[in-house]
Order: sequence, then C-alpha cells, then structure tokens
Amino acid sequence: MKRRQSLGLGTAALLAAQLANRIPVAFARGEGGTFVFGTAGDPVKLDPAVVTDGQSFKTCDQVYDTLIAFDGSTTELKPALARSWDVSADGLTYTMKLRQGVRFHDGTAFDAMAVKWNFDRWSDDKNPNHVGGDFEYYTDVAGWPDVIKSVDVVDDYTVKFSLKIPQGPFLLNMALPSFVIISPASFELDRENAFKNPVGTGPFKFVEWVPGDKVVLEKFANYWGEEASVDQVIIRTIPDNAARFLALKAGSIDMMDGVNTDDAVAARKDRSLSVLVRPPLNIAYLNFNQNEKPFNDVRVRQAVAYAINRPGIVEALYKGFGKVATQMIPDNLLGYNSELKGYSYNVEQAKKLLAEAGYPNGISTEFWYMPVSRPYFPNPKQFAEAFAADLGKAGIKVELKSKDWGAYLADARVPKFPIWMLGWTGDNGDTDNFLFTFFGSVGSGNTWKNDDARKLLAKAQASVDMTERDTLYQQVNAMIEKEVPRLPIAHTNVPLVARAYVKGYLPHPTGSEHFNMVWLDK
Amino acid sequence: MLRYTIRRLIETVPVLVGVSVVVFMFLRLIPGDPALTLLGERATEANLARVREQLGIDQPIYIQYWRYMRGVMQFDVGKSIRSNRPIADEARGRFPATIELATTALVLATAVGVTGGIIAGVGRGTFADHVARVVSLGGVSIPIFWLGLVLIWVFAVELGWLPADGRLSASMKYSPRTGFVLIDGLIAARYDLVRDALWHLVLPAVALSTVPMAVIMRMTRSAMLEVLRADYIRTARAKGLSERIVTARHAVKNAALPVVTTIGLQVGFLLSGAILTETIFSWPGIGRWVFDSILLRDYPVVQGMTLMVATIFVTVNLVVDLIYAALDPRISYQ
Amino acid sequence: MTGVPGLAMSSSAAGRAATPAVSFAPRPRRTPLGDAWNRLRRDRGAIVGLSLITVMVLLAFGAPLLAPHDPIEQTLIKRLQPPSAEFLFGTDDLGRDVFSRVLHGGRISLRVGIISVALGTVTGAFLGLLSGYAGRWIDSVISRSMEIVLAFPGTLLAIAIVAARGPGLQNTMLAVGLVSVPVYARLMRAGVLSLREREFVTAARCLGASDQRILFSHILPNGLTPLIVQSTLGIAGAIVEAAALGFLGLGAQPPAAEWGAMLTDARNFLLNAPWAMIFPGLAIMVTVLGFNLFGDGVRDALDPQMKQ
Repeated sequence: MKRRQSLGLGTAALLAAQLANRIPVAFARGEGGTFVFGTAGDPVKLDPAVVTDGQSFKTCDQVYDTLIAFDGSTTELKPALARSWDVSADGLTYTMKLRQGVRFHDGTAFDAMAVKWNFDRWSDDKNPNHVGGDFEYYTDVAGWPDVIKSVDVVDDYTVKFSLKIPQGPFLLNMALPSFVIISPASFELDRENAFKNPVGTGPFKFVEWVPGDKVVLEKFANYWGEEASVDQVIIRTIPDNAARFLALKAGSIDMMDGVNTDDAVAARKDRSLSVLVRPPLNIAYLNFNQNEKPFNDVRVRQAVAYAINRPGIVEALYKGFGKVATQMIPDNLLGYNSELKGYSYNVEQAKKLLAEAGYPNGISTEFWYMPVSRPYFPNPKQFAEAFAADLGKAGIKVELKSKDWGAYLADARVPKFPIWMLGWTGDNGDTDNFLFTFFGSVGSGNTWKNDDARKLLAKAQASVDMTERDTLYQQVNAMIEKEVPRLPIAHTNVPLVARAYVKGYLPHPTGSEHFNMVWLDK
Repeated sequence: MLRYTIRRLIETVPVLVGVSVVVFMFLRLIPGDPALTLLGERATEANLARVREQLGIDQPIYIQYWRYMRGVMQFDVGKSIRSNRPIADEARGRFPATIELATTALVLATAVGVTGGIIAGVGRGTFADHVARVVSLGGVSIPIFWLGLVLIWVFAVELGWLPADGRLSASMKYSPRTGFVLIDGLIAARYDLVRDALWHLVLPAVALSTVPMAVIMRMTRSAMLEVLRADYIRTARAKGLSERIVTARHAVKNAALPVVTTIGLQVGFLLSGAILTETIFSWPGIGRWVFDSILLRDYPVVQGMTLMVATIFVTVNLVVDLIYAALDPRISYQ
Repeated sequence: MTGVPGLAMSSSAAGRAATPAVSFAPRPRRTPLGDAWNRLRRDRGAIVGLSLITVMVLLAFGAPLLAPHDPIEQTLIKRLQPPSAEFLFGTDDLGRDVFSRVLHGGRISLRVGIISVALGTVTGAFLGLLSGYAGRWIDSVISRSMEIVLAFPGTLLAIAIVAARGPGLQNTMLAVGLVSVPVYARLMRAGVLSLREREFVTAARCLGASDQRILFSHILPNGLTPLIVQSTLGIAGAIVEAAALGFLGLGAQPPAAEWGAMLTDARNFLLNAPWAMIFPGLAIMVTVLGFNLFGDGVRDALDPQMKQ
C-alpha cells in the first residue's frame, strides 16, 4: 500500500496566496547571476542534524536534500532522494526506493549505505560520528529514539525502516530540515570541522562562510533535481531589520526576511520591490502561571482575554501581515474548531470578571516580554507596550520586564513569570506539533492542570485516523477556549521582500527555503 | 629607563591575571544558562543536561578556570558555545574588521584633530579658533550612536550616496589573506576592492572618529597655546624668524608630546565605541560579537575577547607611558 | 568610562603624565569660592552651559505640566505621524507623543547622570583617601584593583555589569557609577599624596590629631577640588553612557521614556519616521553639551593656571 500523507495546509489556499503575491510559477527563466539574500544572523553550524535554528537551515536547505520533501508552498509530501515508499499494513515497516545516479558534491555516490550511515549517526550515541552537538530533531522533535528500531540496507538503492510503534507523522517528519543525507566520506575525513564544510547532494555547493558577514554558495551543475538558475547564492548577515531593508532598497541585497511590518507596507507601494508572504504556521500567545495568584483563577485569565484589544493591536502592529488568533492553532490545521467564537474586546466585561475573582480594585503584576524578535512577535517590546496599555485600562497594572533570551526561557519554563509572551513556529504542519508541545505534559512552562485535555492529546497523537484526530483536537480547543491556559494573540503572515526582478521564489510556511527555484529577471 | 620599563612590564602581569579572574568569575556568577540559550524554545531536561556536560559547565568553577587558563597559556581560548567554532578561528575574520575600522577612525581623528588644533592654537581668537572650539565641544557631546543614525539617515537613506551595511558589497569577490581588506586589495592590486571597502568605511569611521577627533583637537590647541607662550618661542621670534617657521619648526614639534599621548589614549575609547558603531553599521567585527555573546551567555567568546581587548588596552597604555617617560625628562623613573 | 576620554575621563597615563585635568598646586588660602565664582561668571562658555543645564532641568521638572500628552499614552491609529501642531515632534511607533517623551526623558537622564556620578565620586573618593593615606598594602590592593577595572573598555564593562544584574535603570546607574570609580579614586589618591606631606597636615599631626580627623577635616576638603571638576564633566559622560546602555536595550525598561531607548525604537522606523530619532538625540546632545561647557568653566574657574 502506497500512501501519501496529506496533512496541514490546503493547496487551494496556498495557490491563492501565491497568485496574490504575483509569483510567476513557470515562465521562461533567466539564467545566471548572483542572488543575495539578507538575513538577521549567521548560521550556528552547517550541520543540520545538530542545529535547530532557522538561520542554519537556510543555508543547509540549499546544500542538502531530505529523503522526502515538502511540495512547493505546502506541507504535503513529494519524493526527493527517496523515489517512492511503501508502508506495511501494521505501520511498522517502511521500505524506501532511493533515487539512482545521485552524487554528493565530493563526487561520492549517494546510496542506501549513506542513508543508513546518517541514521546511525543520529541514533547511536556510541557511533564515532555521533558528534558535533545535540541531535535534537531526532530525539525531541521527531521523537524517533522511541519509534525507530532499525534502519537496514536491502540493496544499493533500497532502505527498510523497522519501527517499534507506529507513528502517524513518520513520513512528515522525514521532511524536517534536520533529516538530510550528508556525505559520509566528507564527514569522516574531518569530523571536527565538518560543521563548517557541509557536503551534500543539494542544488548548491558550499564555498565559504565569513562569520558575521556572509555564506557563499555556488550552483552544483550535476544536481539530480531542478538545476539552479543562479550561479551563486550569497546569504548575507545584516542583524538589524531596518538596516537590512535599507540595503535592499539600495540594491545591495536582492531579497530579505525579517521585515519590519511598516517597511513591508512601504515596500508594497514601491514598484521596484515585491512583497511575499509565508503562509502562517505559527502562533503568538501569552502564557500564564496558573500555579499562583492571580492567574490561577480562570476569571482573571478571561479578564486578560477581554482586556486586550487584539483586533486593534493586530491591525496596527501587524499591518495586514497577521490575523487575530482565537485558537492555539492556525485555522487551516486539523482540529480547528469553527464553532468557537473567541473573546471579544470588552473592557467592562474584563473589569467585571476581575471583580468577581476578588480584585475589584484591579491587580498589579509583572509582564515579561521576549528580548529577541521572532517571526510570531516581530517586535516583542512594541507589542508588550501595547498589551500593557490595554491591560492598564481594565485595571491590570503591569510592569514590563525582560531579560536575556537564555534566562528568559529558563524562567518561563519554571515558570518564574506571572504572565509572559512567547510563541511557536510549526515544524511539519501537524496539530500535534502545536497542541501536544504546549499542553501534552506538565512542566516546561505548562501550568494548565487539566488531565482530560492531556489524555485527549495523547490519544490523538497515537491515532492514525484523521477523522478521529480531528474530533479530539476540536474538543481540546474548546477546553482551551473555556479555561484560557494561554491566550492566543495572532498568527503571522511572515513577510519577505525582494527586488521586483527576483522570480520563482516560493515562501514556505515552515521557513525552509529552496533557492534553486529562484531566477533573476534583469 | 630599562629598569623602569621592566618594572612597568612586570606590573602589568597581575593586572592581566586579575582581568582574567574577574571576567571568568563574573560571567559565571551571573544568572542565565548558556545551555538553555543554545537550545531555545525546544529545550528539554534531558538535552539540557547533555549540553551542560558537553560544555563543561557542570564542573566546579575553579576547575573550569584552571582548564581555561591552561588553554590560554597555549594560545587556545576555546570554542564558542553557540557556533562550536574555535574562537581564534572566528576572531581571525572579525578582528581585522574592527582594527581596520578603528584605525581608519583614528587616522581621520588625528588628521582633522591635529590640523584643526594647530590652526586654532596659532590663530587664537580668530574665526577658525571659534569654529574649532565649537567642533571640539560638539564632538565630545554628541552621542556616537545617534550620530551614526543621523549619518545613515542623511547619507544612506535620503541622499543614497553611501552604503551603511557591512564592510563590502556582498557580490564583491574577496578571499582574505591578511583579513584587512584595504591591505589585501592593495597587495593584489584589486582597486575595485579598495574602492568598495573605502566606500563602506566612510560612515562608520566618521561616526567613530568624532569623539577622538574632538579630544585631539582640544589637546593640540591647548598644547600649542602653551608652547607658543614659552620663552624659546619668544626667543625664536626675537631672532626674526618668520611666524611660519616658528610654528612649524618649534611650536609643533614641542607640542607633539602631549598630543601623541592623547592619541594613544583614544584606543580605549575606540574599543568601546566599536561596540556601538558596529551594532549600528552591521559591521562584522569583534565589538558587536562581544555584545551579542554577552547577551547569549557565550562565556568563552566574552572571556577570550575581553581578555584580548584588555591586553591590547593595557599594552597601549604601557607603550604610551614609556614613550612619555622616555621623552619627558621631568618624569622620574622611581 | 565616561564617554569623553581625555576630557572627562582620565585614563591610566592621562591623570599622571599628560597635562593633568587639574593641578594640585597649592592654592592661596585667601582665595575663597567667591573668586572662582567671579571667574566663572565672566566665562561665556560656562554661562551658556549653565543656561542649557538650567533649561533642561526646568523642562525635566516641569515635564508633567509642560508635556501636552501622557508620555506612555498610546494612540495606535496615530502612529508614526510627522511633527504637527498636535504632536510637536511627531509620534512614535506606538502613537506616543515624541515631544512629551523627550521632556520626560530628561527626568531620567538627569537623574541617572547625577546619581551615578555621585556614586562614582563618593566610592572613588573613599577608596582614594584610603589608598593615599594608608599606603602600603592597602594602597597596592586598591591601586591594582583600579588598574584592573581600567583595563576594560568602559562601555564593555558597563554592559557586562548590567547584563549580569539584569537590565533596568538602577543597574544602569550602578554600572555607570562603578565604571567611573577608578578615575575619582586616582584623583583623590594623587591629591592625598601631595597633601599628606604639606605643612598644615604635619602641624595637625604634631598637635595630636587622629588619623581619622586628619583625613576628613584636613585632607578631604583640600583634595576635593579636582573631584568637583571631574564630576561636573563626569555627569556629561554618564548621561551619554547611560543613553548608550539604553540604546543597547539594557537601560530603562519600556514603556519608560528614556532617550537612549527611544533611539533604539526609532531606529527601526528610520525610513518612515526620522523625527522619532532626531529629537531624543538632540536632547542628549544639548544636555551633555551644557555639562561639558559648564564643567570646562568650573575647571578654569577653580584652577586659573589652566585657563588659556
């Protein structure tokens, strides 16, 4: 039985988004040239198995390939290094046929041994190649140590995965940017420095990485897939959003991410620029410490929900690049509950609830905001100030506080904060990746004491029946709305801006990039 | 003089050791877990423990210090927590960027400052003198991070004349040899490279040079005034030497000593100012790196770079002291 | 560091070798403060400086009355508006009145400048006295410690202190103050060393005065002049330094209207709203200029030999 899983985002919606963005899908492409992409930070390491940050993946996506890939702008799957795959009826055995004739940039051949070598590197901590960092995607995001029993070579171009338990999103996980096949030969040549000399099968070869400045890639002529149109890709680090936009306007870079919303609005009016939007797969939210007063009282949390003018704030600060979130998942994900109404902006109601909860004179508390910009909260401080102003009107006096990112995350996990901002960007377009991450277990910032919700989430995770999962998640979403364990704020349509001559780019909701599709019309 | 030099050299050792201890202890006594910073939103107890072990931050502090200093003695300052790259490796790319910027700024500051100071000193009370005084007062009063923004606004945004991001245009092909773009460009006769680098240097160098320029101008002016009042100048004038020769031969030469010292002392400011300037101009140097690393709790980078910067600073101060002592007979070496 | 090296900052050699900011030459006893005041009054720069300071102080004190808007009141629909009759300096990214924020920002900056300099001066003076008078190992320990502090570029050290203790106004004052301690300690120590052997101290000692008494009634008052000069200039430096920390996101926390922090916010909107960047910076510059001019004047007045 061959099964292609289709979860996540609807194709029609994405097609519409593309058309709205005026992206020509397939016209005569210009050839050659250098494509300069400006972004906020350097990669951490160019070893995708051990990184979790988008900046590293931005480069790795060009140099490496996964076995199975996301198709276009969706989280639907398409073959990549694996040509096809079969799943046994019990869901415990996956057999993959690999693409033949594929070569790594170092000239060695890609085959079943290379696949096994990579999986062994990730899974076996006694393997001499299990070095370079923490294999977080393998252990935590995909949860594979508890799932994969063994990976075996059947023949040169056939690999068999034997599982301990069935995993619904197993194939979906294969498309995560961490699970790319790197060249075993090059890695073993110099394990210490492999992270800065990436060698894969991807459309671009790595040339150099100048820390704090840029990563340079060049077209790989023998690419098995769609050959890159541009000869060279430069990923330029310009930390400040405004400075990066300035560089784009000046033409020293061709495209950028991390656009200030106001700049994106300005760019829409500029004919020499084009604005592209990632389909939203994220959530910005407020979290509460429900172990302690005052947020242990559901009425106080509801008061917060009524007090914050989410439509007003989203309108003014996202400027059309985001929409108000009423549930903890985007509305195109499985289990979104269209019956739910959400909380409207109602200061009187907020005051009333506070009074009922025993705070007729309001409360004063600390409100913590993130020190760093994330796609879901592009400018956390600005948002924090807007929230504080609204809360103040309802009698919730907050003192805004922040600390360095590491300490912030540490304190949020305890949690030491009464109320704080955070968010999430989805990895694979599955609802489990949102709701179970937030509420699946107690701890790590989750103080919602609701065993029923936890049971439902666990049940949905183990199930492979989409209708059943849909119902379960809808139930959980209804519970969330009632008890407000976290307050959803917004889903961001993360904008990207490019020079108008940049064509063919497909914004992906998970943030992965494929620059081989890009061509320059100049 | 030799004994004085040796004594001053020996005196710097406890200072540098003190610096290393202070940096080391300080960074570890402050809250904030580098392991967590590294793992971000996705941290779990299990992977936190693993990362802490890998980083060696589960060891007692004196063992960490001992391990660290043993490395430093062998010129190994360790690896960045964030990038897992040897710090020396990354510093090799970033250090020249900062030095190139700071040197350009210092040269600019010296050229403008000394010239302005001499003109003002010689023509005391003239219009030029007033301009110089206003410039030097304005220069020390202007916050450089604001000046940087204003320069970007005027020259990059409104006029579009100069770039405001980084050292070179991204498409400029350049494989560093010394890491100093200007030097590499000249060696290889790559004048396009030199032009591009200079183009990018203008705004940040101007911003960084303002304060030193103002201080140097002030010092030059007052040194000139003092010298011009001195007896030997009166003698020279009395001998009938032209005013130009008096100024050039006698005054400037004798006013040079305090000015040279002042210039040397600007190094500390340049290193501080680099943090702000590099942040504003996306300059890939050590200033911004250190600042980011402090926020990310990347201890090894902060330690290594602070130690290096402090060493440079102490060395420059020592050299300035020695030059002064050597040139000025009034300083006793005891 | 105080941001203005050589002028407001005396670094390792400056205090000793290069023309010292002030000399410790014996000052005739008959020259009371009145003389200095007369000289100060005739110094045009100093008067301009004093006027600027006075204006800024008055504006800061009067901010609650003068400001047309609440400095933290947001009107999101009026964000990023250019200067107009309603919003003299325009509005910022949250629709707040930049003019009102600049006025209120003065309260923060002046307070930070004065408190941190007071902290630095008092601590420095105490250490300097101790160091200069006690001598021996106490002197060595203190002097070496000061050298260690001076071995760090000032901004870097201040950043580290604030990063360690958490961002905020109090820690900013602490950091800016602590970083300036060595400057004052060295000035005081040098003063003590030159005063210790002077006749009136020897006389007091012969008369059986205690160490404490000699230190606090004889040496301290006489060694204070250079500290006064330095701290006037120091306020200028401290204001810039605190604004720099605010600019780096380490100073006053939102929604406080602090000049440096306002600049960081404005930086993101440089293309759309340059006014939000221009005015806070101008305010810093004017205030700092005032203190620098006045500080120069004070120095010249207290130390006529330096006047050129």
